[in-house]
Amino acid sequence: MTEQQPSPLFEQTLSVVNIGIDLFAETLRQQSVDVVQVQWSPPATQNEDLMNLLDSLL
Amino acid sequence: MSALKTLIEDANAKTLDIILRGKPRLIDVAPALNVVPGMTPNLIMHAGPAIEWDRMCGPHKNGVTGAALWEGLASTPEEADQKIRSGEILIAPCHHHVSVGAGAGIISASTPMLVVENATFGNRAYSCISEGGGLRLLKWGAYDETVFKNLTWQAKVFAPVLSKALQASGPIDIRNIISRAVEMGDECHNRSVAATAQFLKEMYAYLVALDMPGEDVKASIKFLVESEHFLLHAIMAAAKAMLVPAEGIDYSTIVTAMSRNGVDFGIKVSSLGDQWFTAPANPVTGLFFRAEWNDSNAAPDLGDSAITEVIGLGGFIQPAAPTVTQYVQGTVQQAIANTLEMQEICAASNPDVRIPAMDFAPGPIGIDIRKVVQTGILPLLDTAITHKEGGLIGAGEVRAPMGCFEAALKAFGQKVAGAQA
Repeated sequence: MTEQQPSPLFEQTLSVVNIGIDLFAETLRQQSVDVVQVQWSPPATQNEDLMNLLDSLL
Repeated sequence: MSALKTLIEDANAKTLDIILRGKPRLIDVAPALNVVPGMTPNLIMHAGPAIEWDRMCGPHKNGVTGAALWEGLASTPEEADQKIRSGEILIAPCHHHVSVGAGAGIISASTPMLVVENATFGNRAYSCISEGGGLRLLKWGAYDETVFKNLTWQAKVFAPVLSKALQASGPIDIRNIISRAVEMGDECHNRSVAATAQFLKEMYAYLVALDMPGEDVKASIKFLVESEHFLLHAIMAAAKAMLVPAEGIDYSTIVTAMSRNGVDFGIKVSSLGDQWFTAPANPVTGLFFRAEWNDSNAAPDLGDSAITEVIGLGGFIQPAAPTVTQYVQGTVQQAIANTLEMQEICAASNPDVRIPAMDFAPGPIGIDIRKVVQTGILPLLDTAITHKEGGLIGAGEVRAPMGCFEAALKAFGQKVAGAQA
């Protein structure tokens, strides 16, 4: 059985970009981790006709 | 911006201007038969979009049956069922008669109705009166002799007392009461205790001065003091009175009604006439009042009270009422996040409704169906939880379903494409 080495990721200061749900970013901030929050949500509809309609209306 | 987009933006601005300029005032209480347009002795109204008798949920069926018995239209539930099927007893949505009803929204000819007039435009809207507190009320789809006794007392004693007091006081400005109530911890849907207290403060001097039997007046004051949700029904009628003048504006994509019947959730859109766009009503998430109740006992979302969210109250301003967040084990922080989310699907903000916990930011108002479909953010409603066989069992929150917004947007697209062809 080989012993796994810890990921180098955990041996350095984390710089985090969080995309979407900001609860994850807030949780890291509470642990003094620097986080850049990117507001994003998946496209609401996969309906191409509705997407095209929205383009003409909004 | 394209010509079409400009037309929509202008129409939406006009719609919001009409809604925000509304001045709803409570002017009277009177039997539905005397004041509600199209009311007849054999008509029983219910909350939500139209629904066939066989598709109705338990609370609606029980409520309609209870009203038929109370009115003397039938002497047994079986006779009521037969007369509904034969058309001898008619059923229709409250909204089709410029009215709104909380819970199952049961309104019959003798139901005392709050009459609210929009002083800016001169139109009127109506809501059934609150039956007071308690888990078993007709509006929750429960009936027995105690419920009937209370309904009869309200019709014969309480409503005439309140009507006389309102004649003495003059119109009560519901918009002002909403503004102050929001500063005092109400979101004006699941919590309306501050609004009710203000109403009582305005009415008290006129109630005690009435030249009517003292016992009746005392009992009426006691009822008002004990009914902390009393003014919700007037706020609902006020919302309807503000929204009716905003209907029928070409190119407007603003929602003018949201309502649920425990089976379907329906919306109406200003430019799309009287058509309801429906999708299955969602289950309500929240706190059950007794350990014996859980999600399996609950009816899906129901009631006309979502009219409060249409004018930017209730779930749209949750941080105004921190106590309400307890129903969903929530936090003020989450409530603020919810309001920020609602801002993304609204066309405007309401300077009359300011949220203390958000540094008195104005609340969002005016749901734009385009933004709902684009963002996927669904209107958040505060609401009660009703037992599927009738009775109030909890309170919480629920999202509107996406299907009705997508259907409305498709219909809007077809309409404007036709207009521009």
